[in-house]
Amino acid sequence: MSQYSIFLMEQMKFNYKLSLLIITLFAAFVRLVFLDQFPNGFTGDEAQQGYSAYSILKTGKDEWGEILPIFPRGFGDYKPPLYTYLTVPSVGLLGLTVEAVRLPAAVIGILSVLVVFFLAKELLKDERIALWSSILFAINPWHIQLSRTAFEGGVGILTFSIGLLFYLKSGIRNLILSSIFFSLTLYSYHSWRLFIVLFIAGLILSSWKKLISIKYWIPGLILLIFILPLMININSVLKRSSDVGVFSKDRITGYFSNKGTSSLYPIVDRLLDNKFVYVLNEFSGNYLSYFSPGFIFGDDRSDNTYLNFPYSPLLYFIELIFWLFAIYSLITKRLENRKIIILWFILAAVPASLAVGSMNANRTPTLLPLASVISAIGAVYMIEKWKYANKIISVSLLISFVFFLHFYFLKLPQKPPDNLRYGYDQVFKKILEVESQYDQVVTSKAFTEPQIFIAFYSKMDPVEFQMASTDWLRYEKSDKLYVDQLQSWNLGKFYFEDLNWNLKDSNRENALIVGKPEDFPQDVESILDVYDHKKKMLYRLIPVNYEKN
Amino acid sequence: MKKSFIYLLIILVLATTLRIYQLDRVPPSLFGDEVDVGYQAYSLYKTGQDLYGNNWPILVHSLSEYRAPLFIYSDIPFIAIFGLNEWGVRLAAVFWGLIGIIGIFLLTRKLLNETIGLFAALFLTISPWHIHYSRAGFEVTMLLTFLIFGTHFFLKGLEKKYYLIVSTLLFGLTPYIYSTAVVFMPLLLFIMTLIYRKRIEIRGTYFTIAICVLVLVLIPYGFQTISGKSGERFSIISVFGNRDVVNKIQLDQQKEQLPIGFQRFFHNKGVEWGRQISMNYLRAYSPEFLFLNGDPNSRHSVHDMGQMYFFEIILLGFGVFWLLSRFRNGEEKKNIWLIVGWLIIAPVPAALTYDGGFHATRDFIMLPPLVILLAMGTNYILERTKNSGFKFITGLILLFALFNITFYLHRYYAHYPSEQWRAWHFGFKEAMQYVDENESQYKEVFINNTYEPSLIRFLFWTKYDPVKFHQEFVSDQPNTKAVGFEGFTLNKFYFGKFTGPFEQIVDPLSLYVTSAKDDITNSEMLNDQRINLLKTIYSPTNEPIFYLFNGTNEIQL
Repeated sequence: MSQYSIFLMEQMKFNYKLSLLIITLFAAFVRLVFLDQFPNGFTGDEAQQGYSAYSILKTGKDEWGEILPIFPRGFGDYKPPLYTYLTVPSVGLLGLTVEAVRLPAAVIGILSVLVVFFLAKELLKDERIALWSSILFAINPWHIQLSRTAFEGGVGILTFSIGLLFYLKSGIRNLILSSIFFSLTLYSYHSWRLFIVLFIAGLILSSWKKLISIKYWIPGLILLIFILPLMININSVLKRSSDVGVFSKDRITGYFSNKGTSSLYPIVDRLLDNKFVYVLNEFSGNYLSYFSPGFIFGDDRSDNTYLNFPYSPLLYFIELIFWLFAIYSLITKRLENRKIIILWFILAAVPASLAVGSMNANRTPTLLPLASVISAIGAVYMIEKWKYANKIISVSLLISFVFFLHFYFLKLPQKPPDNLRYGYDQVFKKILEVESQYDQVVTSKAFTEPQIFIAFYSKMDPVEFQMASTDWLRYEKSDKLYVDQLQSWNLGKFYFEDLNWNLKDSNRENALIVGKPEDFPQDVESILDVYDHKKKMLYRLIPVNYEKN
Repeated sequence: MKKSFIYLLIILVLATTLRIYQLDRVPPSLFGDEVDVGYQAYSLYKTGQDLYGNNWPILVHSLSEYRAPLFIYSDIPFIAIFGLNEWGVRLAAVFWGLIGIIGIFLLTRKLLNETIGLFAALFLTISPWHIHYSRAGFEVTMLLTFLIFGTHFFLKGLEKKYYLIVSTLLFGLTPYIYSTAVVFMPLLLFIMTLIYRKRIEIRGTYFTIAICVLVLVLIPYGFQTISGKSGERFSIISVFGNRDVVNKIQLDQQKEQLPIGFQRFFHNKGVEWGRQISMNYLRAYSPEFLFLNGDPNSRHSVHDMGQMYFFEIILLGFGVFWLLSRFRNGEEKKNIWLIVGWLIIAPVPAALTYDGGFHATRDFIMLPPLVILLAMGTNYILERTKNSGFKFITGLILLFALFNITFYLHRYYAHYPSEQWRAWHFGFKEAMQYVDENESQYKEVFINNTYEPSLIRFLFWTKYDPVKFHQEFVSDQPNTKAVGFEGFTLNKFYFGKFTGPFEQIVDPLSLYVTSAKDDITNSEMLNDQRINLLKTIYSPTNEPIFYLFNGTNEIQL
């Protein structure tokens, strides 16, 4: 290295901490600004996180009446609990609002940007790569969108990063901290849950000689303690996988019963097409899809639901070039902790591949913040090699980021992803505004988990909700997976069932019927009609046999 | 040297077998473009003119477009020897495929070493992608061969400079084979000149002559582009000309809430084109395309698997690994850069087209670097199999490979022909051969032209005399209205569609070749007393494709 560059590095040593601070503040700004309006829509999952936290805050029990649950039922999907508990103080401070529900995700996102610096520094022993990791992660389109919605995946990003950070440092105190954070990751999100188990198994396998020494025993014990509840409650853990897993019995039997006859000899056919081959086939197909350039650097997704972050790449297109150089670096140079990086990279898409479907961004938050670290490795490689690389990269990233901001704040609200429940807030707020005038409010099952929105927007007393939810538990007895698969259920005077205007609903006394336009005849009078951006009618609120008091 | 010659021979025998076995039946029938190639070649052979009477043209004038001529010209000897049938058309592709395999051996041997060269030839031989395109009248197989040999001679030209001229001659001919060469060939030449600039003496005589030869060869093509003929197709299929893109930009600009200046910044042709092109480019290297699903177009791929075998992922991984670690050696480094460079620019021509995302034909030129990487990976594994740990892995990979290859062969030979008969326009041969045998009994023959353009199929399968055709052919646009039928005529043959219920106009002295899809929408119509059903052409899945009938003796006017 030339004298000049050594001089520069000395200068810059002072600047790293300051730069990091600036980056973190910047990341904070991008993730916090107008948190309630972007994403433009408030989903049932978010409402549920909020209301559940509210219920725990007020009564120490979740909305189902379970005291401080480790496996909260949610809607029947048994969400991992960490995000809910993190929402408790937020709701306590800000009340039951959209911002309060999303704030934990934003804060965790901001902290993650900070942590990735230290993690990258510990992984690669290079402050420049660490700083670039932070920069790239701060402006990462995927992480920004992810940090602005009450999505549990982001929690695991933070807990795993901190856990890995402490693991890499030496000393028994750090190892204990590491095991605590790894254990917390077990309770953050489904994909992270499986990932951390595999990752630790991978660590053990790859350096088991090192791990036999005594200093690993206490951390190991801590981990075991945290895993124990999971193993005891394995049923609720696996409930989700029975719905979406590749191994699900129903799916396998379904495939084979639909297969039809093959032209091969039965023995050959059985050899070439059996359960093992089928699962392997599905798994490897899914797994490969996560390495598709169109998925990572483009907008190829399995669907356009909001957690798949459609219409936007997960990493900027220019990061593809960084990745190429990073792969070259990883293969040819003996980078520090190469093994761990590769282990992380290989395992990241495994949990997602065990679920049906490919290219689901919502199942692979496990790729973060590794994706940005890899980009940073490549970027720094280019900067070291070429004189103007720094300027060109900075300008390109700036342009990409500006385009992203334009997309996220201006274009995406006009073409909202699916399942953002656009219009729900108008509907439910109106319902609560007028409900006292009616004896019943009947809401169509076209709405997903409508009961939680009623509870959320009315800041309903958790005790009242818990009493109603005890009745809903019958959904489990009838072998359904989720509450809203019941035929009908109610929350006080709010009823949820399929509408049938002619047969029952038009005959109700003093009721408010809420549903889609096709549930009603054309000529009814409504007190509210909700439209989407294309002026298409979405929902209607129709009073029936209204008695003016 | 001798041993590898025998290995190469074995590989070629394998290649020939794979490409010739049931060539007339798999793929199921000659599709439109193939029939066109065959008849144009026949017309050139017999009369020295294409369909429209142009003498030995630079761009062959087909019914719907102008075509690159060289593949058609190369088909002439095969048509002459084997006649107007599947063999006559497809053996040309087989021929170019086999030459290409020899070429990849020579090229890879030059770039790396002989063993890897043999493996490259082997992988190209068994490549589902290459097999598929060697067994039908696609021009890309010939293009690939020319590109491979152009590169090979360029490398030879590093030592003996006169080979550079041979190289540029071959490269110069490539736009006359298939249009992706127009984008790819200059890029490839540029890269090679850049990589080997110190060795080829750019200012030297030979290189200058080589470039002159290149320009000379390209001049006729240049004229054709200016006159609009060769550019026509590109403007239809390219990202740049696409109307949807322009409409989208306008729509986005209208919805934009920012001031006008910002509108233009965020929504303009550059941004949209960039977006489309980069998505298309990324898709060429996606697992969906290469290993899982392949080209969605049923005529381009067998489906249920990618363009390559699944087990080749492992080999590709090792190949890339090996490639990256070899970047340090001096001389070899240049050759590695060439492979990498080819890999990078190969999807570019396809990316520029609107639907070029998963396009097996336009991305065909990706094959050489992919196959070389596979060979490198195999070489790496085999070298390490001497260490016993790897023996197990190698065994597994071999087993997996066997599994994959069997799956493909079974799918391709046993299922594909009957599944995809529609994509290959099955049925015309039988229908037109019937017409050929029986047309003398009839005064007029009416042939449906809405299902697919039938004229060229008619000419091919009836072995219509090109001399006669040139005299009789006026146009393929509708110019005649016989009673109840609208279309164009050739002699006593009408090509078009019915203008009203055909039961009323059928005539015992006229033969009608109708489409089950377009004309006889309900098979009950055939029960009409006025119709005398002569023959039904069925698909391999027993669906009717064509109904051939004449009228009964009750003449209605």
